[in-house]
Amino acid sequence: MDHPERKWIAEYRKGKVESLAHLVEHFRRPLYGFIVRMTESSADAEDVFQEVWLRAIRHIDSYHEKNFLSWLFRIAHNLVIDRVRRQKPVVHFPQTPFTTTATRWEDRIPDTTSAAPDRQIAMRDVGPRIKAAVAKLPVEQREVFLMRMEGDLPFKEIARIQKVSINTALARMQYALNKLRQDLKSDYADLSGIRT
Amino acid sequence: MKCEQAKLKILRADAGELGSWQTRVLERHLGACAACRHYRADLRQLAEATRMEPQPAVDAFAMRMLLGEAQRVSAQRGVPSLGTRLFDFFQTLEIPALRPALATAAVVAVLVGGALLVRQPSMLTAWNDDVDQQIERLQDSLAALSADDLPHANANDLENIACELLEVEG
Repeated sequence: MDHPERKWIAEYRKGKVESLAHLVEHFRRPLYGFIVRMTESSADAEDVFQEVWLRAIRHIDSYHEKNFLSWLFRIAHNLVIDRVRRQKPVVHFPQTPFTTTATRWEDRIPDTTSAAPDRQIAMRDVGPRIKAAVAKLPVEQREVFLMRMEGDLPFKEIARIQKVSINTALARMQYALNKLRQDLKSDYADLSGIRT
Repeated sequence: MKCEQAKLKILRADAGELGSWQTRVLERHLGACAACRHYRADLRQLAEATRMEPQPAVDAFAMRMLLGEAQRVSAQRGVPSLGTRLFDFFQTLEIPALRPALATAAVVAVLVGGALLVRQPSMLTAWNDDVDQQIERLQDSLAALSADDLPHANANDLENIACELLEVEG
């Protein structure tokens, strides 16, 4: 099946709670990747990630759309924007940290399954610089960039989540790319040298 | 095509949102414009590097907490509504080409059923108990209409499926 999440959602709605674990794992990478770069720290990101899933669990019956990841991103967008506006932490499970400090995401093994080894090394070196450059983008541009890159969401969906026109979403992406290309000029040259 | 327009189209093409005709126009432009080719290459490199960033596994304890909450909510929620069950049924169909026809049939069936229930509300309880079995029967009917048969599926096949749905209502 092209969309295994649809089966898991149907199963979960029928009461098979274990199917939720498949959903969380399946969408972990894009969702967490988005959240961690939209929040101040990995501890904040873990809070928001957990809160997104708690809200999804509580409102799963209202989900009647085609793209589950887009729905999750919308929840995450609302939480992140709310957080930016109020500068207040999201409150939930305060007694249970999502991960221990010994297993912070920065310390873990990169997911570099598909690229050639020399390319992996170059990418790994460039990674922190990309992260820093992305962090400097204005919130709206950063959000469009990450929804596109991490979530692989179409601009139609991104525009819907941000409640703007598709042209605005495209313009935000273009501004973001122009700034990143400028900031990462020398890194592009490094990567081009080993282009496969 | 101007380069500024081409760059917007590169973004949309990369997101799978560009039609085939516009894609051909864009490819023609790219064939003649090194700056736009460079823009596209940079975009792809950036995407690749971004997606290679390490991400954490879901913490086992946090997962247990989420599953515990899911269990609690699930127990309170009870059986999903008919609309939700039909939605999930269509979403998990293995024959995507039939989805629009089936969705239309389902809407008709729900409208007819709704009209009947307004007249006789006592039908609801008995019918709701039986609906899972009826949906399973409908799934069997669809399974019989295999993907190989799909190009030959005609109005009669769809009408039969619509009738099945109406039977569920009755």
